[in-house]
Amino acid sequence: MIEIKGAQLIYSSGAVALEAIDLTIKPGMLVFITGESGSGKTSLLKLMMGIEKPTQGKVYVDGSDMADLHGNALAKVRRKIGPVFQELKLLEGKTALENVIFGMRFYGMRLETIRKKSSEALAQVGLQIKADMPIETLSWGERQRVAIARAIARKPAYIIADEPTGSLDEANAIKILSLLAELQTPETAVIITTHATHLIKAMAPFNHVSLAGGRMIALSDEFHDGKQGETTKG
Amino acid sequence: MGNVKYYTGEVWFLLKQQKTGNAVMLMSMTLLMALLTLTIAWALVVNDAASAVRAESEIDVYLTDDTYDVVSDRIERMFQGTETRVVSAEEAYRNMDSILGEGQNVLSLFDENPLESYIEVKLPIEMAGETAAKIEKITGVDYVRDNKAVLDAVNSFTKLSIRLSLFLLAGVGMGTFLILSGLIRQSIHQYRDHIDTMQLLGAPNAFIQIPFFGEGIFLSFLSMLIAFSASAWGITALLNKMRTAVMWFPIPQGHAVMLKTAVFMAGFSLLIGITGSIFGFRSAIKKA
Ligand SMILES: Nc1ncnc2c1ncn2[C@@H]1O[C@H](COP(=O)(O)OP(=O)(O)O)[C@@H](O)[C@H]1O
Ligand SMILES: [Mg+2]
Repeated sequence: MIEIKGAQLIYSSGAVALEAIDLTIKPGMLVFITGESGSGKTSLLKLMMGIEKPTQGKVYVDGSDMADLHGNALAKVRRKIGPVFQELKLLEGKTALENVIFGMRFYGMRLETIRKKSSEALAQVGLQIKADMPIETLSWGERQRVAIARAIARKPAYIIADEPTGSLDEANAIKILSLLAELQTPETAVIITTHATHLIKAMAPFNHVSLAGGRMIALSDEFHDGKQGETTKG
Repeated sequence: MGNVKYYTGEVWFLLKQQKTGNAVMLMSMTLLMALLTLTIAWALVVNDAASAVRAESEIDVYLTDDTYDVVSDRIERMFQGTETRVVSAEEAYRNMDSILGEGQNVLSLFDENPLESYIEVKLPIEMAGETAAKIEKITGVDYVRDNKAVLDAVNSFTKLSIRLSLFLLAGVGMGTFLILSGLIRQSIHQYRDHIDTMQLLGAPNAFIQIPFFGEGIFLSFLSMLIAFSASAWGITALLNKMRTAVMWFPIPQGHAVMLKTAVFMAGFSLLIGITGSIFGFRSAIKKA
């Protein structure tokens, strides 16, 4: 469970990225976070991953206060998360498969197991034929799928994807979003940010956080009382 | 086991990525390591030789008459820890002969053996000074000759050599340490984004650091190996030559010195590899 309580994030530059965020993400939820560019979506995900610490309020991941975590303790929490970064953060000089394998190297699994799971994840995103291609030779859309494969191969409790449809055309964007949405299981929460609000209308029932200027302007009902649907807050 | 393979792969990757930089660093490290190999071998030779000379601390006692046994007995009783032996004039002649070697004709210039019999007193080094003075006062003793002057000279020479070696050791230690930590720091800067990504994916610190440590230890050890194998043969040959040429100075055996030097250099290069890498890593990475 990810709990965010009264969180505020002001960057050292003075930019107020988030203000008064209250949000609880339970296991198995599918959450879309929408908002225009600059509304604070990435910042919110950074709080969840402990990349930024809230300047006010608290962020808990499975009970751990992210502000208290450093080094290996922080790493341990991050291993529960399958992140897909907006800028992907794939390793150049390595193949698609190696990149996926890389995300699982430190789980104490046998290499054969890691290989098998990585290949499966690449197959799941439809990229098994590109497994041995250096990452630099793939198109951006393909790289996005490698990044997703790296995130899901870890079988994380939380898949956190930041603008995974970024530079894709509409058809491909919908494909990627559906793929991610399907990863939602009772154990795995899927959290996706996008500024393309029109694309998510077609998705399966989901929870919705709408951001503007760093504040939550709308929150779907489930966050309040467990029912689906959307209401406007305040 | 899978991880060992992974780490070696990563180390290889890091080494390959900065070929020129690594080669230049390796060369300067190798030069320093060669200097250190020479220094250590030198220090060991001096140290071994000095302790061999010191172990031979002795006083030669010349008498006015033939009471060798009496005086010998007396010396052994008066000074705990001494050991006496009577050296006959003939033995003294043979010793001198072998020391002078081919200068044999020097002794044959004499019609008779010019050397006298004497009592050789072996004793612990710390007793040497005062004992000689006391023996000289025993009745029947004409005069004594000790090797204190030689020992003093050997001692100050040893001290100077050791000091010089330590100075060089410190210099080479500092030099290799700086080169290596700089190299690791550079390597980390180059792979900053790799490291960031690993941290974001939740890699434990050790997992992130080990490839860089591997790179550092490998380069340090390799430079030592090259330096050592390049210089070991020459030093061994030189020492063995000196052993046969300089009879009066106890040069230790070449391969014995080089074995000790090898152990030292291996330890040194590992130490530098480890500390240099850790320092390089620490100074390049701000704590998360
Ligand atoms: N590292 C940073 N330092 C300073 N300001 C930042 C930083 N990252 C984001 N911001 C600012 O915080 C606000 C929210 O940014 P972000 O979370 O990236 O929004 P989004 O992902 O919705 O586009 C913006 O005004 C942005 O300029
Ligand atoms: Mg963003």
